[in-house]
Amino acid sequence: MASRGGSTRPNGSLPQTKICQFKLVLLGDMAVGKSSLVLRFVKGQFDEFQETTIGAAFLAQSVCLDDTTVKFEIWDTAGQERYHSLAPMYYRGAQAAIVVFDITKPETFERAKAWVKELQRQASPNIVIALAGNKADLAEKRMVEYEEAQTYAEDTGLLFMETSAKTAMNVNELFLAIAKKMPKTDTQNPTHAARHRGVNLQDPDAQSTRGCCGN
Amino acid sequence: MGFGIGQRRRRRSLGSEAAWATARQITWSHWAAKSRIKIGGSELTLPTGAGSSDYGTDRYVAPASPTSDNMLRTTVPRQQTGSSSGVTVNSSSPLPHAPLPRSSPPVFRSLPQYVLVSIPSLVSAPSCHPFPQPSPPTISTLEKLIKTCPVWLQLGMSQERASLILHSESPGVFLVRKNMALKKMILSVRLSDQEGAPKVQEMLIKEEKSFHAVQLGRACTSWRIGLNVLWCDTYGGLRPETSSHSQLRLPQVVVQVTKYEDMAIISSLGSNFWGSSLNVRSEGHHGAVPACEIEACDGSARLWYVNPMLMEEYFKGMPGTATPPKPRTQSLSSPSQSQPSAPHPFANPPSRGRWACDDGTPPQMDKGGLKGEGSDGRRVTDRQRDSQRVGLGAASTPKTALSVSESTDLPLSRRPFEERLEEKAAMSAPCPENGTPAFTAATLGENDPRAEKPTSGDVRLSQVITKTAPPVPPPRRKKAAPAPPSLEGSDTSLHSSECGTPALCLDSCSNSSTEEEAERSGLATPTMRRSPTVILDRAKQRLSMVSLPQVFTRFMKAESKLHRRIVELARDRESYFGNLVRDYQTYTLETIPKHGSSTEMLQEIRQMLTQLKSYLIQSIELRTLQEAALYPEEKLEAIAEVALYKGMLKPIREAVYSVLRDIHTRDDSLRMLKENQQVVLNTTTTDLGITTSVPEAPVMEKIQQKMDALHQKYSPEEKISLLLKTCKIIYESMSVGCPGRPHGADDFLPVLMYVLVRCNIAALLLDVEYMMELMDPALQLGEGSYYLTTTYGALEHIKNYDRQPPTRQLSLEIQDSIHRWERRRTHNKALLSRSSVQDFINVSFPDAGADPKTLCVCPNTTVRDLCVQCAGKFEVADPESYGLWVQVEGEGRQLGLDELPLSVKSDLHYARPHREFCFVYRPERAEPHDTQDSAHPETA
Repeated sequence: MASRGGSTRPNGSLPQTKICQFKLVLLGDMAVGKSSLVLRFVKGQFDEFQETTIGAAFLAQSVCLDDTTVKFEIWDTAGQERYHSLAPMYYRGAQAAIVVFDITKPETFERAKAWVKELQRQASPNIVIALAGNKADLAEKRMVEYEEAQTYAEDTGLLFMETSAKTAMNVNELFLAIAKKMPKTDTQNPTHAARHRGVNLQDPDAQSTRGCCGN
Repeated sequence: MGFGIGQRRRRRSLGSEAAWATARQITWSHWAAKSRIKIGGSELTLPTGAGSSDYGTDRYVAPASPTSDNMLRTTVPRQQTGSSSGVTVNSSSPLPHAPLPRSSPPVFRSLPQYVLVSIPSLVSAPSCHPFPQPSPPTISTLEKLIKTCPVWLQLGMSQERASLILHSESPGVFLVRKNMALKKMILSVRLSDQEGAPKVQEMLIKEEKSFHAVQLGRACTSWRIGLNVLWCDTYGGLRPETSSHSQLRLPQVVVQVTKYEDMAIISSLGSNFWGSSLNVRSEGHHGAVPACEIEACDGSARLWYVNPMLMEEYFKGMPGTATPPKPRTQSLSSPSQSQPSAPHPFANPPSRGRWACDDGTPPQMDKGGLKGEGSDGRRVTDRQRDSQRVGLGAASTPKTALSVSESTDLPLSRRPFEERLEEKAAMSAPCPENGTPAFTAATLGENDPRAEKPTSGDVRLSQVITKTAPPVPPPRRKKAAPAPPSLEGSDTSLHSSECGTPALCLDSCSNSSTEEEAERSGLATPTMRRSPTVILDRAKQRLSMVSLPQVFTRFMKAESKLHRRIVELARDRESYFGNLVRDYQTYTLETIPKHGSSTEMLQEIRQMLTQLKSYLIQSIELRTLQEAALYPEEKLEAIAEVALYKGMLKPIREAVYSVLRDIHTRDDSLRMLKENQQVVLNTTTTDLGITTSVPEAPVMEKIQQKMDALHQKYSPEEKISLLLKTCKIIYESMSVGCPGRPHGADDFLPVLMYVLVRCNIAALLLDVEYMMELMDPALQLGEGSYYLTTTYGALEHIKNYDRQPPTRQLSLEIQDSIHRWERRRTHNKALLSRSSVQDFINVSFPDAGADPKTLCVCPNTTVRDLCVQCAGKFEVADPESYGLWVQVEGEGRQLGLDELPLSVKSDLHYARPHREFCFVYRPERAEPHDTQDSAHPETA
């Protein structure tokens, strides 16, 4: 497999690389750190793979998994309740979603659950959903227990991680985990769309380290 | 403060140009009618001091003064403006040759565009001195003009105040103001005292986007901008009918100033200058300076700004041996007049720059123009050389010129001229000059109704003219080698005026458009335009110069060449593709009003684009283009896409918008949107969920301009690019309070709402749809999609604002529409990538070549299916008795009902040697099958 660190390193130069492009939508209450999380992810990557965007509401970032380059187009949504109605426009067509909550605010967890439900009901059936308990660095103020969220995630079939945009904890891991779950057939480049449903991803931890060195 | 202010003002003025562009309807004619101004063109002659090159005149290759001469002669029957003293000579003393120029059409094309403004070289010539002295000015007039911009450019000044100020000035002194209501610049000029005539005349300055374009091509510099403004002014100001001459002059003291420091003081006064003790007025201006005088001073160092484009065309059209045109305008002609045998002043000018166009081979001109003029060609060339000195200011001029050409008040002389032009154009079908003639005509006849009805001869003309008219692109001939880039650039600028929307998306967003146009100009494509906005942006962002070399290199880029080729192909009546495009346009124009839903309508158009593109990619016509060989299919598709925007979308943009507007008026969404716009306007930022700073007024203004520009574009991609720029500005304004903090959607969306309700939201509604449905499906994801979705969502949110419980959903309809949107796009993309076969066929009825219709067919469509379509299309009462034939070079064969028309077409299309073929739908009886082939499946 990829050499250590190789999987997260954006590397477009490998000739065999297949490019998969995915739309990932960010959902979650206001101020739970959606954008910070993504920015942490994006900034932690190599610049060469980062596309310049005009603002943080839309970001694009590629990561490399072995023979595949996964390009995420990350669509942020406004978390305010009053803009809830616009969310479907964003998650329609998304292949992945990260639902973010703040572990210090239980109401955001409730809201996250509502999002998950909505996604499962209305989004594309194959959507990969990840649940992120953000602000893990504020453990002392924790109001949502890890186990509670973990259990919920297992029950509903979600990826789950507690993250900290501040310390970068689990940020890259989260995106990598999503990348690995993505079907790799749906690519920009159909000729390369071999079925690699399960890309070999051994040593995932090692892979993810590279990107997080910043923290 | 002086200059700084000036710059700011200039920026503002630039900024408002987009608005002008949109409001261009208010035309010269209107004003001209009132003022009875005849404007043909005016010439700007800027005497440059020997030292005047500060502004890099060499860089702007000066079209030789000779050219300008020619131009003048040809173009403007009447006046030129001023001379050092600000005196203009003109109509007052008719030159013997004057009539000739009018008759010479070819030259003219360019003429109208050029405004020849002669700015008196104050330095060199005392105001009263009829013959300016050659003494080298220490500061060129141009420079003075630029640097004193804070004095004469008074956008905020009221009419009363301007009149008051000018009243006590000498004739020719001017101010540039802005009419806030009209959003147009106004030139207020002091006229010479005449009985019963007002002393101050106000004229609208018509802005042409092209102007800017030109600037872009050459260099965006502050001086240029200033000059442009002046130009416009001049243009407008030129000669009220009552006075034989009229010139624009700088205030006496400015004319006389010799030190930069002094000038700085003057400009620092801004509008206070006028009332200050510095403003010393000398009496004794006199009317016209004889042309000869001008000439005389020319020798000294006159800076001519000539539209390079014109020059190019002019020279191109002109055989080396051609006799030089006679001087049309007195000023120009003056040399001949006063000192006919004397060497032309320009003849010996120091040549510094290189003339951009000067390749040593003067083009043969259109016969009409030059020959008629009858001067000797040699002289012209000399002049060309001389022109080196000249700055290319001309670029700016064109726009002015265009505006001038308003029909109503064209000088009498002009009409005949135009007519002649048209005749010539018609006669000289070949239009050797790459369709240049069209160009000319267009310019001249911009508003001339005649121009709008393209006759065979004046098709091109009409094209040019069409800025407002629905643009059916006239066919273009292929032509000759592209002109030198520089020229082209200018050409483009001229064209740009024609429509509010700049040509390519690229145009607006990048230099590429410019490039393209530049190239085209060589071809004299009638339709070129430049996007003003881009230029504006650039101008605003930096007033510094852009180096020409860079620009030129870019012009040459192969990609833009290919783009141009494709656009040409799409407009070529001779080409299969061109015909298809035209068919599609016609079809679209006919059918879009019948659509009930905007999505449906736009989708149909999108499909056509996609089909045309996929046809094109496979077509022989494209393959035979050398330029195309360099690119992989993917790239070709991208280029074709953009070219199709121009070839296909641009002509129908207006119609599409009008239908969209109707549809949304009918479904009430425009009304709802506007009503709620008010509601949201009255909502506090807190209620909107805004936690950051919001754009302040000046930024809002900028945003509004971007949005206006966006609305004007026809290319969905250009629109999107402008949308992104707008969003970027919003982000920037959000960071004002706390730099460095990244803003996600939580922050952005509310501010976007805040901004949108302060824009022309109704137009945006249409724009968003236009973009969403017409954008290239290949660009499925990405930033553009995101912000488009966000904008769409925000608009919907506003539309439903009051009815929306804070927490609940947008109507399912809306959600669905987005959903469907994604699906459609995916579908379209699939369609495109399939890119297998052309999806349409032309069928004539009932004879080959008669009434061909374009029918959509799939690869598996059978003749049977197609016959059904034909029956409907041709409204045949008894379809059973009709069949489909394919006619190959005269021989017909009836197709079997189970044959696949596309395969047949394909085979024939790619068969070698190539043979002409066409499909005919006709009665079976009438034409017993004369097939050589066995198949006569009519029975099947």
